[in-house]
Amino acid sequence: MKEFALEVKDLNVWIRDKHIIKGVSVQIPRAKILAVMGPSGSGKSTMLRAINRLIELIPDARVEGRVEVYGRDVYAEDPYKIRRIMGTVFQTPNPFPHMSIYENVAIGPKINRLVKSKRELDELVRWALEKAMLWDEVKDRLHDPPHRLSGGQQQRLCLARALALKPKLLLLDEPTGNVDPVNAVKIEEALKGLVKELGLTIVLVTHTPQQAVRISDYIAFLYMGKLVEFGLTDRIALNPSHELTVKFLRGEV
Amino acid sequence: MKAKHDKLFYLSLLPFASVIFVIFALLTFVLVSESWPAVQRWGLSLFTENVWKPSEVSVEQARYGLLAPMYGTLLTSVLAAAIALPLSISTVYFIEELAPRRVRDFFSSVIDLMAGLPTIIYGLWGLEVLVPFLRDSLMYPLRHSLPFLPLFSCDPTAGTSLLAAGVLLSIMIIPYMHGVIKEAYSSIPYTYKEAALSLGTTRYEYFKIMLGLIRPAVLAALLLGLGRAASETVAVALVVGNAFNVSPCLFAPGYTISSLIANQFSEASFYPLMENVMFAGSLVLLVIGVLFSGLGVVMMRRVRELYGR
Amino acid sequence: MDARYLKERAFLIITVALAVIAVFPVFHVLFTILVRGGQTLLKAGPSFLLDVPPPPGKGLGGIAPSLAGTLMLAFYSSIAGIPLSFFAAILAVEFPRSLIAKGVRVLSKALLEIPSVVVGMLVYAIMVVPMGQFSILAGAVALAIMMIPYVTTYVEEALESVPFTYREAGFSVGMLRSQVVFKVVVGIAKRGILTGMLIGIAKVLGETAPLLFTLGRDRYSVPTNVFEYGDSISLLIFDYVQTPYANMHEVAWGAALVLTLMFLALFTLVKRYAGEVRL
Repeated sequence: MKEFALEVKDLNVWIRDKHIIKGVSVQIPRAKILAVMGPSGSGKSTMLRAINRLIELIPDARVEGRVEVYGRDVYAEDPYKIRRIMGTVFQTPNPFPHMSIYENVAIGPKINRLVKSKRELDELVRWALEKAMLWDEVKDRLHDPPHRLSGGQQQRLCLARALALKPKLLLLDEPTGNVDPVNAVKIEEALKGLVKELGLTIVLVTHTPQQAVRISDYIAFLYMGKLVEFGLTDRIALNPSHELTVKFLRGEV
Repeated sequence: MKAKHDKLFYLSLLPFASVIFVIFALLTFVLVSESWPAVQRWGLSLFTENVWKPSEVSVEQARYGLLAPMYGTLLTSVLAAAIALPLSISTVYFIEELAPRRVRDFFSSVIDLMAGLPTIIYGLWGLEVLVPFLRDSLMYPLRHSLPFLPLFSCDPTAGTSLLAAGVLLSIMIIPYMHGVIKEAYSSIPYTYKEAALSLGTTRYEYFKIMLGLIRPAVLAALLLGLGRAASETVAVALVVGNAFNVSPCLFAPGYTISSLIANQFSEASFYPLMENVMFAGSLVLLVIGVLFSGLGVVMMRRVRELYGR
Repeated sequence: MDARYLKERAFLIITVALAVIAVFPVFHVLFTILVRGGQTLLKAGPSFLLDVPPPPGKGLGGIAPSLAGTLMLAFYSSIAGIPLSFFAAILAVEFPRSLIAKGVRVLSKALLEIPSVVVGMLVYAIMVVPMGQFSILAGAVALAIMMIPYVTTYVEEALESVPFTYREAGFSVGMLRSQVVFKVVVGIAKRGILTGMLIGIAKVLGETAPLLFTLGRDRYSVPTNVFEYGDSISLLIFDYVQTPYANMHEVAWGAALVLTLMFLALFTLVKRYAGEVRL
């Protein structure tokens, strides 16, 4: 039997009595990038938070359906354990303001006891910063507070923070939405590298179809909480089967 | 699956939080059970009569009635709130509309300081400075010029009096009333201010419009101020004169419930049931406080809803 | 037009005058304390902090036992009151849906409305009577109860002021809820939390009423442990200003200066930490 990296089956999410995600199912193999696109308010971010169970931080949120990550049933396990195989990067850069650049990357491995020595930790921090394409810019000021970095650098720091956990699945919520174009390109490059070199699987929420087409292998198009279309990026970009998708790709919704 | 950790974390915080509940449970139990014997013995007259006849020997010969301290509490708090209200409104208007930035910051700090200064400091100053001042430059002149008014119908012998307590309390509650009014005032949406100014109002007219917009907050300040004043203890105990009086004369010495407790509770255990009488008094005090501040909080909530805060 | 203008003038003059009258007393209080307390301190010298009080009518002595009592009370009431309020506030913020959390929010604020003298009576009934004597411990418990509403409210506010996104980030790197709270939220809010704690201490430092029937007023010996009788500067002032002896009034003023300086030190510290403070 073929095991998917991520399998979402008939996912429904309510917040209070609002039905935010309506029966969404997708599945993607390992080492692929899934772009979840759709206009704002379509439920993209909520879907991401249903995968890593951060949705449970919101009072009155209710989830039905099934989410499997690398064959593990996310909702059958302890949320803290299952979150450790996923890394998340948020829309607005949010490095911990009271920790240094180094500590921001080191906190995950420390919490989860991934390393045994200070040297090992140093190496892991360096590795994560390199993978996030930030190392060269911060190697001389690892102990500065993160607010001295530009917004784009802060976002790559958040990427490094997520990578330091050595996750199998990386979830990104419009990571370039609040970042300048140069940094956006850098982040996209970093993401491609992660898939190629490390075999990471990525779910990327984006509201720009261009970005989805540029870097993803699969596209899921959400509209008002419903999955309008899901499939290989090449197919959807060339030959979308739904009228709404056509409109969205043209920038009309 | 729910996280086991969350449950454990909750349970480990629970003992700390429950202490707050325990305090309230104990408070209710102690106040009710300690008051009960006194209420049982003298019934309603405990609150409607002005008598204070302690007896070391037997309960039979003792009689207590808390009317005088209840009257004193009410009178001094009303006096204090009445004096403090216009003053607090003025400080708010001054800070919000008139003072330049640096003066405003300084003024705000001073009011914070007023709120925090230990009450015993006010009490000491009240007894040694305020009371003689009021006696010589307010009470005697009033006594001599308007002797026919019942309010001024007695000689301010020592100066310690209901009036002195009211004035001292008014100083002490200004920062609280100021805080309540200021919160409401600064929450008035800017568009309303613009609209008022665009009508070509003078500052006085503008002020009246603004005050109208926060009327519930002014009422809330009044109620919260009354509650504060009623519960204040040591400062009042020093300046109120400590006598069982139900007199309309403001210059007469009096008692408030809390000053009575402060003065006599230490010795009360020598007299049968006297402690219980004091507990009954504190129950009254608590009810007054809860009533005023409860109403005040309801008012305040209305203000916050009004301007969506 | 003229009448309107005159009305405005009168209004402005009255408002400013009333605002000045409102704050004038506090300056007069501080000034008087400084002058009269200063006289006492100058006359008594450093021994004012190290000696025991004088006999009625003769000399100034010092306030050492009361000063020690005030410091001990601040220390022990903080030890009890601060952790309690801190963890209760965490529960209120972290588990907002639980009945306990709602209770903590309501009751910790309601505590503010209980007259301080009633807190003293409560502790008298539940501690002094059963233990058979007054003690520093009973006084500290009364002050700890007084402290709870301030510290709880300020810590709640500080914790809630931390943007939600940092909590999410904490959970996303695999933190347990307790780790998110202590490593992330408390870390970011530490300024506000510390301010709240200092305000709590400043609030109880000069309290008098809760100590009237709990502490025992032994002002001639420095207490060595919490089970002994104690005194506080505030109680000493309260008692001495009611005596007919001039020298004891002088001691009261000196003590008031010491207490005021302690309070002002804390107040300045708090002000420096946080811009706006409501005491």
